[in-house]
Amino acid sequence: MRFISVILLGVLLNLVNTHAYADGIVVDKVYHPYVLPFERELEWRIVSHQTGSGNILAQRIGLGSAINDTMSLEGYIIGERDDNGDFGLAGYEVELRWQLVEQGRLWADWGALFELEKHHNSDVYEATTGFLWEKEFGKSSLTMNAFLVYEWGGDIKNEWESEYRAQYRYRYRSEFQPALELFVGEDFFGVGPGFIGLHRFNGQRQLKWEVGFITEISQSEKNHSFRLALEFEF
Amino acid sequence: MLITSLLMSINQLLPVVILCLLLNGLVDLTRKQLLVILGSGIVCSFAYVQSAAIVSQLFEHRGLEFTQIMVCCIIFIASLLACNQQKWAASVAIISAMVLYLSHYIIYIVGFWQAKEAAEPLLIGTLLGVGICFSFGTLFYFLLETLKTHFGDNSLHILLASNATAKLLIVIDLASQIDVLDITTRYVDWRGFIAENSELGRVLKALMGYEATPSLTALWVYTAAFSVFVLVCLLIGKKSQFKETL
Repeated sequence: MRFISVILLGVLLNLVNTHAYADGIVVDKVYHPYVLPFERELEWRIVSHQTGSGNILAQRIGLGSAINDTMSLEGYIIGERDDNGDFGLAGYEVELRWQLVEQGRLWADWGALFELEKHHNSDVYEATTGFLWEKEFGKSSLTMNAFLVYEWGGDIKNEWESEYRAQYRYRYRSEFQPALELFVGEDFFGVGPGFIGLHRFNGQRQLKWEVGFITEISQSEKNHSFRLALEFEF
Repeated sequence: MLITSLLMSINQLLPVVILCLLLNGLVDLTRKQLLVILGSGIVCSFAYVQSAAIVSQLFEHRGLEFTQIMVCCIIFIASLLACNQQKWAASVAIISAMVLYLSHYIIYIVGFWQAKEAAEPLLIGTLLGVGICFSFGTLFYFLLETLKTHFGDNSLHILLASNATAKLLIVIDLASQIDVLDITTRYVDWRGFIAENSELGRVLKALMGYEATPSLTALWVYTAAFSVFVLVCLLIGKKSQFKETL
């Protein structure tokens, strides 16, 4: 039943995608479709998005916890630099990750993601839903995310958008896994290298890190992104 | 030339000495391990300098900056892992710091060594710089031992957090140089408080990345990264203590 619902979601995403792509910062995290039982996590992400017209610098800090064996709920506060160069609260977000199948049970692993974001001091909401997919090929892994985004509110035009993210990584060592990442959104087709790492401490505790440099390649004008993410699960 | 060599050697060696002592205070590296790590660091630094010409051409001639950004991120993450007594992580952090700082120093020495009149002041300045770093290192070692005895490992965690987070300020500068990030034009001015080129300013820069005129962006990134580092360290420590009690 879960599998069918995800397939239906995928079909829906493809139908909508013929007319809509996401705007804003497309470069973010590539999600993996796994949830550890009883996991709790602390996360910090920083993204710099540099274009010819300016720079967007955003940070987010999140705290989350598993609510059952297959679902994890996480809350974020998002800080962004404004036009005056001051950092301030830009929004809040609640995120639900759902591991749909047991790892390794099917040919590939599946998960789903649901997000609700509210912009601070403006009537702008954003709901995101999508599926997470991962397949291991020997020492390599391919992860793909497809998201459908709906933006609404008094200060924004109501619209549907979609985003695609993909990450190919070679699991050289758990601490160092070189990766190639792809991000697709409205007028954006970015690709670039990165590295990912994971260190397991005693018990269920683990520290993950991700660094990536993404360059937009479909247009001639400058569009680079740098992202760094740190995630501690305990 | 003498003063330049002296300042150059202090600027490039002191951060390595400080990180090395902080990590050694936390993970208790043996003398043999420390020598192997330092030797590996020197070899890696020379290898990086040798390959600089090739690396610099990568990523649209921004290869050097990208690799240095990567090295800074590795130092930050490895230092965080070293808080949990991970010797390999401490080794990676020290070697990476040596690559980051010594590579500049090697280029400086090699560049001026062959100049006839520069060799002597270069040598004297370098020896003086090494001596100052050694003296400071000895004092800093005893300071860390005292802090550890009176306040436990958490005092070292906080110092390591400020030192490792300072590497992210280098990331911001490098990213700004290659147009990946735009540092805001708004700066905070602390020059009246501690000048960056004063003795204390230099020590604080090596210890915790002190800048007399930091950008607001740098301050915000530093605050967030420092908080995350300390929080994760505390969570790791809390769990370990809990396990020991059991």
